Amino acid sequence: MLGATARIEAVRRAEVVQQWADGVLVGACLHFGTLQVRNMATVGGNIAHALPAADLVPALLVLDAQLELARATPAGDCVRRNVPLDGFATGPFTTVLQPGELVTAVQVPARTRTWRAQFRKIGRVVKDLAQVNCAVALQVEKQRVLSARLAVGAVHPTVTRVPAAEAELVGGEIRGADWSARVGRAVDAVRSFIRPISDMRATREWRRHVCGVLLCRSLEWVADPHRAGHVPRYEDGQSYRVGVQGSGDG
Amino acid sequence: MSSEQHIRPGRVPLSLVVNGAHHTFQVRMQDSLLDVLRREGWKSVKRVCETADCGACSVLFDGSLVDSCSTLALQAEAGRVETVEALAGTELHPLQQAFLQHAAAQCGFCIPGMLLSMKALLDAEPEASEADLREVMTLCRCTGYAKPLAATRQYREGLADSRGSR
Repeated sequence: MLGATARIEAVRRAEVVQQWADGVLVGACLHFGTLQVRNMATVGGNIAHALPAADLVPALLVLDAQLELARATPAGDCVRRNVPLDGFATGPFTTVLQPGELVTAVQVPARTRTWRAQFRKIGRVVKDLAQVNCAVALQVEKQRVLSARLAVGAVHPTVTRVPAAEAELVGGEIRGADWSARVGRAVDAVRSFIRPISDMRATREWRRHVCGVLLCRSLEWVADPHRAGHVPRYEDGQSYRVGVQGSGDG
Repeated sequence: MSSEQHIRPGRVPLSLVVNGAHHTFQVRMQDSLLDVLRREGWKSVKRVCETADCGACSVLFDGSLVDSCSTLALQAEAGRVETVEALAGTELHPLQQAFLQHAAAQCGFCIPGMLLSMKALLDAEPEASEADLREVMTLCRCTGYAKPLAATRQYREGLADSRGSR
C-alpha cells in the first residue's frame, strides 16, 4: 500500500519497493524527473494528473494496482471507494474522479511480489517526460508464463495495458521454440492497438516503432534466467535503459 | 498594535525557519517559495526556468532538495528552509572550498543551486556514483560541468577519508 502523498523519492528508497517484482517501481521512480522533482512529486499526483506519459503508471498497471478514492459529503462524512488503476484515466488529464474526490492510496496485491518485471523509458534527455515508456510483468512457473501484463505510456490517450498482446504471451514457454514468435505477435498487437500522436518530443511513427523495441528488450530481460536481481540503476548519463549495472545488455 | 493590522490586503502570514532563524512573511496565495525568498533578501536562490527543470532555485526544505520555483510558499508553512547561505559557518563548507580550488564557477549564477544539489545528494548517498552526480547536477549555461564535477568528486573523496579515519 502506497499513500497518495508519498514522495517519489521516498518510494524509490523503500526497501519493500526495491524487493518487489524485480524493483519495477524503483525503475519507474529512477526515471522520474530530477531529484528535486522526486522530492516534491507524489504518487497520488502522478496518477490523478492522468498524463499520458506518466512514469509511475505503467509500472503500477503491470502490478494490478487498485486505487482508494475518498470524498467528503456535504454532511461531513467521508465516502470511500476502490477502483482499479486500469481504467482510472479516461483520456489525457481526465479520470473517473468525481468532483471533490481524491486519490488517497494505491494498493498493490501481494501476489505480484515475485513476478518478473521491468520498466523502461526513453526520453530526449533522462529528465524529460517520456517519448515512450513501458512496463512488462510476467508470472512464470517452470518456464511457463501463467500470466502477463504489458503497459505502455506516451503512445496512447492514456497509459494503457494491451490485453491482446498479453494473451499472446500467456501459456508460452520462456525462451522456448515459439517464444520469439510470441513476442513478435505481442509487439504487433501493441503497435496496432496504440494511437500515438506527433508532438515536439517525437512523431507518431517513431513512437509506434520504439514502443515495440522497448517492449522486446524488456521481455528479453525478464525472460533471462541469468538476469541480475538487484535494483536497476542508470547505466550512464546517456542511457535510458533500466538495465543492470555492468551487464551491457540492450 | 496587533499583528493582524500588519497584514496587507490579499496577503496571509507565513511562518518559516530560514537558515535557522524564525521569520513571518506576508505572502500572496500564489507566491512560490522562490518569490518569497528572493523578495525577503535571499538572492542566492535564482530564478531561471520556473518549470522545475534547471535546479538553480534549489533549496533544502525540511532537509530534502526541492525546486523553490515549484513549491507554493504556503506549502512551506512551519517548515525549515536552508539556502546556500547556511552552508558556510565561520569558514567555507568543504564543498565550497573544493569548488573554489577547482575554479568551478564562471559567472556563478547556477552555483548556489549546484552546491545545494551536490550536498543534498552526498548527504543522502555519500557513495553516490558518477551517474548520480550528473543526474542531480544543476543546468549551467557557461562553465560546463567538468570542474564542478571534479570539485564534487574531491569533496566526496574527502567524505570517504573522514569516514575511514573515524
